[in-house]
Parts: sequence; structure tokens; C-alpha cells
Amino acid sequence: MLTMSSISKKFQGVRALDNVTMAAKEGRVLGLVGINGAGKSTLMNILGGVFKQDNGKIILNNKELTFNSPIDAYNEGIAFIHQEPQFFLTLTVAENIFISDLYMSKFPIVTDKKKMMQEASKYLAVLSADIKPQQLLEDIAIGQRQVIEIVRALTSGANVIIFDEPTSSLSLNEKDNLFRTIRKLKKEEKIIIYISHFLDEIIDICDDYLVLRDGKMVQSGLIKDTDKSDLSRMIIGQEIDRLERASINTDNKETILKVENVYHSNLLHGVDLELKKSEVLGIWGLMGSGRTELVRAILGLDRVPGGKCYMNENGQMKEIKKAELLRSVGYVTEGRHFDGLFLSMPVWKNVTSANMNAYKSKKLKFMDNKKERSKTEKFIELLNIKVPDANVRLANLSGGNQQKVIFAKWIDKGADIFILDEPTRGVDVGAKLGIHKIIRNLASQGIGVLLITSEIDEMVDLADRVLILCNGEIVSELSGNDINNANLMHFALEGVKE
Amino acid sequence: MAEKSNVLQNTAPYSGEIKNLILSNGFYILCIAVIIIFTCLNSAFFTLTNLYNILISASFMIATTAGVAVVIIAGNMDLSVGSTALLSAGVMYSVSTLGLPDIVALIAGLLAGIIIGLINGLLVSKLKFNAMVLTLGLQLGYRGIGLILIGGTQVSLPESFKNFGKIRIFGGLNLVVVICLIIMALLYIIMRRTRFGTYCYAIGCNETAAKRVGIPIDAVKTATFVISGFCAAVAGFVVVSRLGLAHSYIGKGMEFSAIEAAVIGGISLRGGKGNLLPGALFGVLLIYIINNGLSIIGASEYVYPFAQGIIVFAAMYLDALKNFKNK
Amino acid sequence: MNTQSKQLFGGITNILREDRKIRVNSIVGVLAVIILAVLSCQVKNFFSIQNVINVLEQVSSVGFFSLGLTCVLIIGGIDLSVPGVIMAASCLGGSYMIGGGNWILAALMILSVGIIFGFINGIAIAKGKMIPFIVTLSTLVLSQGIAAYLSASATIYGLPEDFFIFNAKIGIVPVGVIVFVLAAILLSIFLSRTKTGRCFFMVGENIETARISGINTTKITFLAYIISGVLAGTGAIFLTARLGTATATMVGDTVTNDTIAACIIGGASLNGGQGNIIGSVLGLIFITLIANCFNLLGISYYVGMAIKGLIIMAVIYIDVLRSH
Repeated sequence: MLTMSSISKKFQGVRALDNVTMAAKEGRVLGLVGINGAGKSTLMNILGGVFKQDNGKIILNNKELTFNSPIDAYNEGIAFIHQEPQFFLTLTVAENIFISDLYMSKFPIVTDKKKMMQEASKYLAVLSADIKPQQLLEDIAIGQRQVIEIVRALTSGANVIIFDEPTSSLSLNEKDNLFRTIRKLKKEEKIIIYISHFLDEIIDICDDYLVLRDGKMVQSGLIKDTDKSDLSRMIIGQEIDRLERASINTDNKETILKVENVYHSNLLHGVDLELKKSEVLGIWGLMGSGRTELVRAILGLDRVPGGKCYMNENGQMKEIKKAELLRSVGYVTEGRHFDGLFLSMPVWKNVTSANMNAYKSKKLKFMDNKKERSKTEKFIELLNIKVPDANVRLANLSGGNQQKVIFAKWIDKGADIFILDEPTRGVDVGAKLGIHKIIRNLASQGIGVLLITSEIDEMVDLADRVLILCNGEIVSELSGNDINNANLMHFALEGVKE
Repeated sequence: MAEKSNVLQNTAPYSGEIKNLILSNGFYILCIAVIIIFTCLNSAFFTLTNLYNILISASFMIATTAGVAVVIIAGNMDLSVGSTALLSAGVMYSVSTLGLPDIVALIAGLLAGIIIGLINGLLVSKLKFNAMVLTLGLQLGYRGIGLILIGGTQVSLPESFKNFGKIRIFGGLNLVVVICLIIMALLYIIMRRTRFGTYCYAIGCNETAAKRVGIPIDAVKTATFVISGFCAAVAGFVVVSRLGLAHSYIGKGMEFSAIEAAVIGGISLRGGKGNLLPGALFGVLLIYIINNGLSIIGASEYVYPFAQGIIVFAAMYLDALKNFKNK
Repeated sequence: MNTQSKQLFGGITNILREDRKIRVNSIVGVLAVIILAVLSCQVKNFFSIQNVINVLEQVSSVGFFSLGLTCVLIIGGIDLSVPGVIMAASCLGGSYMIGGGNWILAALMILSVGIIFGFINGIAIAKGKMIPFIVTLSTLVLSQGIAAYLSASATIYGLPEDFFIFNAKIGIVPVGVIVFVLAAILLSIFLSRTKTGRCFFMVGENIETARISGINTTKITFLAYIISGVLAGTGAIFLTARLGTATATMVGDTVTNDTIAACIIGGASLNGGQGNIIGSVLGLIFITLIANCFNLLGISYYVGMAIKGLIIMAVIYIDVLRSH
């Protein structure tokens, strides 16, 4: 039994945690919920030995524990499965698993590779993972890597396993595998803490729950005594609003972009699609089905053959080169930290970065900083970006606000086509709704929006039409009322419509 | 339904099997091609004596490159090896004039290399200096000290140094050459088969993760520099034992050649990737094969830098192509 | 200490602790003041215009290198080839002139060598996606080889009178200094006020984001190396005129070292996305003054080298502090 009792923590005068008590039992899964900034991460960082609490105790199996570093927590059997796990891509799976505790052979300093492979195979089999221990990590699909981190936790003898937003990069199939694994861990009498903002999952896999808001405990209890709307009310303090809108028929709208014959490695075998003005077209498919690759192929970011693109120019569909298409669209990428932001630059430089020509002064062609700043102020107001002013460096903004800045950038460019890849990943509930409103507004202004998302609710709320991508081809199309949780779930699990 | 891997194999619709084969072994094909070209130009190239000459002249670089490769794999760079070799030679000379047994002079020189490695390593790991800038700066100081110790353009060392260079074993191989090869082989085994070696690859690959899992980063990094310094000292000794004297041009440009050799041999400058054997070894050999070949066909001395530059470009281009395919 | 001064002290240390950049730059400033103090004591009329110009002349010989290097560092690359390019260019122009060639054409040839090498670096790095360190290292070796070949490992001397117009003075200011200052000012304006200049910073900060934002990252990278090459060629012209000779060793071993240090002192980072032309120039002046200081204090060459190295290391450590 793990208890964190009366934990308080202050950071530079801001109270991150205020007298929070958490209890987790063996063989059960505790769901830890709250929006970003509610205190979940701080609480878990304290448990993981990253921070030290100001007040309060950590008690594991009747023993009080003090951690001075993550290694101490690790040695006490507390394992953290991070949201974005860090791996050694050039090492093998087995080496990654046993990196903290490499098996040594009879010779004093030589590692025993054979034993490592054997042990790794054993544990991978326990979790029914289809991974060979001698594979290089860079050859393993991202969705499968998480299992390796779980194995790492198990082999180190962890008794407390903390999952931090584990399903962000998983397909529904992989999610199933994860839950199966967690149930196995339960049988092994492990203590499991599960952090997620997907309430569906919390209801599905957790036995107990603890809701945090503003660093304080709101409520804790058994999952079977609560439901989704109950939880969301506790998390936000009020009922979550979902986007209200009437279903739009886009049959008679003009096509703005047509793409034919897209190929990509062995993932896509000739995909065609048509995007209409004023519509949100969703691409739905399993993780690994090639949705992001589809986008990268269309925009010419990956060098692949095939894939003709046509754009609507004054009512006529004209063929367009991929590089030109890239210059005409607004592309909100999947991983903003990788390729969406200029973190050390202020907000206003980011906002104008896709449209810099518009801010050149007439005579000398210098950049007109004043004009850029004032335009940015307008966007801050329009999109409700929470910053004190436009000079704040982008690194200091929350995920949701960073995403809004990226939207501002493309709106400023005046793109007629927006391509969104997981637009609300890592964004908390409040900002999510704001971004959904922005997306619908774009569509209503005549912009064609191509939407990739793995969140069922988001697809249902936003899409006018949905294309199902499966086995490298578009196998089906949904529109109107057919876009609902049941159908999308069905396609995600089954893959092919009957 | 089976999950498809995210990894790109070939880009459809060509398969290019042969193309792939060429790319992944491009480097060795390059080596073979160069040997064939030189043999055609002058058959004296492909004799046992000549090939052994190549090995002898390359021996000191083999030791150096092995050490530098270790540092690069762990994610850093050591631009001070040339100056370290010079300083070691200088120390060996100075100590030998003190009237102590020659073996002490040798040990002193090797120790000097280790100490320099320690200094470099501690500064890079504890004070978080950028390795490239640090070693680029410090190497001037080391070179200066070495020059002061040598005191002139060249100085003679005791007979025993030259005699050591003459020792042959296994019926024909110079002991010093064997020592260099052993160093390369030993370091290869250390990198691939010990915990320390795995740590080096891990740190070079992802330092943040390495810290997270508790790898003693500072200790490992410092150790890599110590290894590099030691290897540079050995290289200094090898040069000195061949000539019987130490001169002020020892080690000039050595670090750059070593890095080139390592990179040609497949060791990535980003860290975490590459093998000492056969990669780095053949990287060194290729450079010396070319130098030797050029001298056999009587090319002007000015062609050498060109040849070297072009080979590096070719190797880089091959590497870029390979990475490009695997994007 | 009474309460008021305690508060004041506390306030200052708070600012210093919170804004590392201020703290770091003030350390450099303090060091600079010390050095200036020492120098002004030892040298008569240290702050006289003549002396300022002398220092600038010293700086501008290889100052063009630092201007180009700043641009390259900003986009996240590096250019090690410049010393070799300067020597190759100089030897080409020099050997052409003593062979009876026209001085104007010679100057153009020198400039062209810089452009050509900038082009080679640019193609390999921007289009070929090769690693800047190795590429410019190779061109360094190549260009040094060319310099050795052209000069037949000897000194080229006896350049025609007309060529020394590049060493003439306008009033009391040498032409080289004027061109250097102009180049610095132009580049500074280019980087801070124009769109392309800002693109440099964006490419250095995050090349992927820059590409998605529609910036032609290949063109920008290429441009940075061309600029470096052009400046190398320009510097070679004035250096040759100032020295009056061309050799394969006219650019000393320590120059690359000093220049990288100067740029980092001036605000550049080896990771890209940062850099400041005026800062680099000030950094170069700082390093030059240190060397002058040692000369005047009669410190031996090697010892001076060691101390200079230490001071530079200390200040570069500041880059480390800055980026945390």
C-alpha cells in the first residue's frame, strides 16, 4: 500500500500542492485526474524523487521513504512510464531494457549479451510483445516502444508503476494491448497509478480515482461510483462544453484541393482524396496507417514518387507542384516542439513567421516590428491567447497557447487550406474547446481543413466528412450523422466496413 | 490485422536491391576500387612489402583514431590529440635527459597523455564546456608546452627508443605496429562488450535519457578523454621510436586526420553510432593507402591534400545518401 | 550592513541571479575595463584616435573572418575553412601579380577564390546535407594544399605598387578598416532588420519549423556560406596588401581559435539561432587587447598564449552559463 499524506509543495511562492493525500493499493489502478497545472505532475515528480515535498510523508508498505534523487525512488521500486519515453535509438532492445543494470558475465567487466537477450525475451513474452530483443530501437515503431519501457520497469523489480498519459501516441489496438498489460500487472499485485485526461480510459481501466484541481484534492473514491460527466465536473468545476453545431452537408461545395495516387514506402498504396471549401475533412485510421505520411507525401516533405496535386484557381483545378502546395497551406504539425515553434523567439516573431513579406516597409524593405507587434496583439485577442504581451518568449507559454500561436501564424498567412495533425495534443480541456471553435470558424470562412486526429470526440465534434484509411487505401467515407462514436470505434477496431 | 511498422524500407515503386547493397557497403567498395586503381597504375603497389609499409606508416594513426573514436562515440570531440602527442614526446625527451632509466621516460610520456586526458575530460564533464571549443583552445597550450620541452626543431632520444621500434615479432611484424593494432582491437572489445562501452554509446545517443537512468555521465566522459589522451601519447611514442628523435612538427594536423578517418569509417559525429572495427581501422587504412599510392605513382606533393579532401567528400556523400534512404 | 544596504544588495543579487545574461555580460564588461585600465596606464595616449585606429587595423586583418563566422554560427553551422581560403586566395593573387598580372584582376581573383570556396561549402552543406564541421575541415585542408602549391612553400613578395592601394589611408584611417567597419555595419543591419536576416536566426533556431513556415532553408544555408567566403576573399585582399607578401602560413594557427572565441563572447552560440555582429567585433577587439596587454607587460609568448587561452576559456564558459 502506498500513501502520500498531506503533501504540500511551493514553487517560488506559487502553491503547487496544498495538503494532498493519495492512497494506492496493490493490485488496483488509481486514476489521477486533473487539468494541466492541477498538480498531478508535481505530485508524481515528488513520488519519483525529482522534487522534495515541503510537508507531508511518503509511506510505502508501512515504511516512510525520503528521496533525494530519482535514483532513490528507482531503488525503492517506483517506476515512471513517461509520456514521451526517452530511448537509446542506436542500442538494441535488450540493452535499452537493462541499461541501468547490465548483466555481467564471469569476466569482471564484460557484459553478458546472451543472458540479456534471454531475460529480455522472457519478459517481452510475459507482455505478449512481438519484439525481438536484438532489434535496434530505431527500427521499432513508436507505438510499440512503450512496452519496452514497461519491461524495463518490471525487470528492475518495480512495485509501483506510474503511467503518465500513456496513450497519447497509441493506436486503439495498441491501447488495448496496454490495458491488457496493465491488467496483468494488477494480477502481479503491483501498485499502478494512471494519469490521463481521457476520461473514457479512466473509467475503463481504473479502480479508484483522485481528482486534483488547483493543487488541492477535490475528491477521491471508487470508479464504479462515478461516471464521465461527474468526473469532468470535478475536474473543471463545471460541465464540459462540447462544440454545438449543426451537421453540414458539403456535397455542393467547390473542391479546393484534389490529390491523386499518393504512395509512401510500404504504407500507402495509391490514395486519392478531394478537399472541399468550407469543410472539415477528417482522416481516420489506426496509428501507423499512414495518416501523417499521407500529409508529408502531399506536401513534398518526404521524397516519394507519385501523388499529383491539383488546386482550385479561379474555379479551375490546376496541377500544382508539391513545393508550391507547401507554400500555400497552413500546416499544424503533429509535434510542435519538433517543428512547429521558434521557442526562443517572442510571440510576435512566431506569429508573422509564415508571412514575413507582408511586414516589409515600403522603401527599405526592413521588417516593420511595430506592425508585426500590433497584428499579433489582434491575434492575441481574437484567439484568446493567454499572454501578458506579445514579447513573451514562446517557450514560456502553455501547450494550448503555443498551439494557438501556430494557428495565428497560418491565419496571418491567409492560407486557404489548413492541414491539422493532432491539433489538440498536449492541450488541456479549456484550451481544447477554444481551438475547436477556431477550427470551425476557419471552415465557416471558406477554408478547407484536413484534420487528422486520434480522439474520437474531437473527430465527431469537428468533421463534416470522414475518410477511413486502412491497409494503405481509403476504404470508406462517412458523412453527416454517420460520424459518431460507434462507427469510428468500429472502424478503429475492425478496420474494414462490412 | 497486423500492425505495420513505421519504418521506411524502400520507397515504392522501385526496389533497388542492388542500389541498397552498394550503399550499405559503399565504403568497402571504395577501398577496393582505390586499391585496384593504384595497382593498375603501378604494379609495385600491390606487393607485400609495400602493403606492410602502408601498415607501418599508418600505425600511429591507428592508435590515435581508436582513442578519438571513443570520444566521438560518447558524443564529444577531441581536437587536442596532436598536441598531446607532441607534449608526450617532449616529456619523454626531457625525462630521458635526467639520467633516469629510459623506461621511466616512456612511462612519464604516457602519463602525460593520461593527465591531459583527465584535464580535458574534467573540464568537459564538470564545467560543461563544449568539447570542440575547449580542446581547440587547450591544444595550443599543450603544443606550447611541448615545444618548450623540445626546445628546438629536433632532438635525439636515447638509443633504446629506436631499438624498440626495430623489434619484430611473429616473424616480421614490428612490435609497435602490433601494439597499435592491439590497442584498436582492445578498445573495440571494450566499446562493444563492456558496461563502459555500452554507456558510451548510450550517452552519445541520448544524454538526457542516460542521466535519467543513472549512468555516471561525468565519469564515463572523463574516461573517454583519458583514453584518447593515452592513445595520443602512444602515437607520439610510435613516431619517436621510428625516427629515434622528436621534432616540432609531431602531431600537426593529427586530430583532423583522425576525425576524418573515423568519419570515413562510419563513426557518426553526432555520437552513439559506429564501430572501431572494421570501420575506423579501414578509415585510417584508406587514407594511408591513398598517400602511399600517390607516392608510388610519383604524384606531386600538392596532390595529397586534394586526394584526402575528395575522399572525405566521397565518404560523406555516401553517408548522406545512406541516411537519406533511411529517413 | 544596515537594513537598507542589505535590501539594496539583495535586490542587486536578485537581478543578477535571475537574469544570467546581464550577469554574464557584466563580467565581460568588468574584465574589459580592467584591461583597458592596464593598457591606458602603459601606453601613452591609449584612447587617442591614432591608437584606436591601430587597434582597429589589427582587428580588421582577420576581422572579416569573424563577420562571416557570425553569420554561419547563427544558422547553426561552422566554417573552419576561412584561414586556408585566405591563404589560397592570397597566394593565387600574389603569384599572378609577380608573374606580371594586372593588380585589379588579381584583386578580383582573390575575391573569386573566396566565393568559390564559399560555393563549395554551401553546396556540400546546404544541398548535400553534409556535416559542416567535416566539410569545412576538408576545404581547409584543400585550400591549404592549394596555397602550398601556388607559393611553392616559399614567400611570394615583390607585389606591384598599385596593389598597395588597398593599404592606403583616407586621412589617417586605412582603407581596410573603413571597409571592415562598413561591412560590419551592413551585416548587422542585414541580420537585425531584414526578412532574410531574420530567416538566418530561424534556420539556426529550428530548421524544421523554418522549412514548414515556408522558408527556403537550403537557400539561406547556402547564402551564409557564400557570405563567409566573400568576406574571406575580401579579408585576403586587405591582409595581402598590409603584409606585402603572400605565403601559405600567413594566417596564424591561433586565428580560428580566437575568432570562434570572439563570436561566442559576442553572443553567438555553437547551437545556432544566436549571434551578434557588433558583439563579435567587440569580442575580437577584447581578445586583441588582451594580446596587446601581454606584449606591453613583457610576458613571454608561450605564457601569454596560455593566459590568453585561459581567459578565453573562462569567457566561453559564460556561453555555457548563458544557455542554461
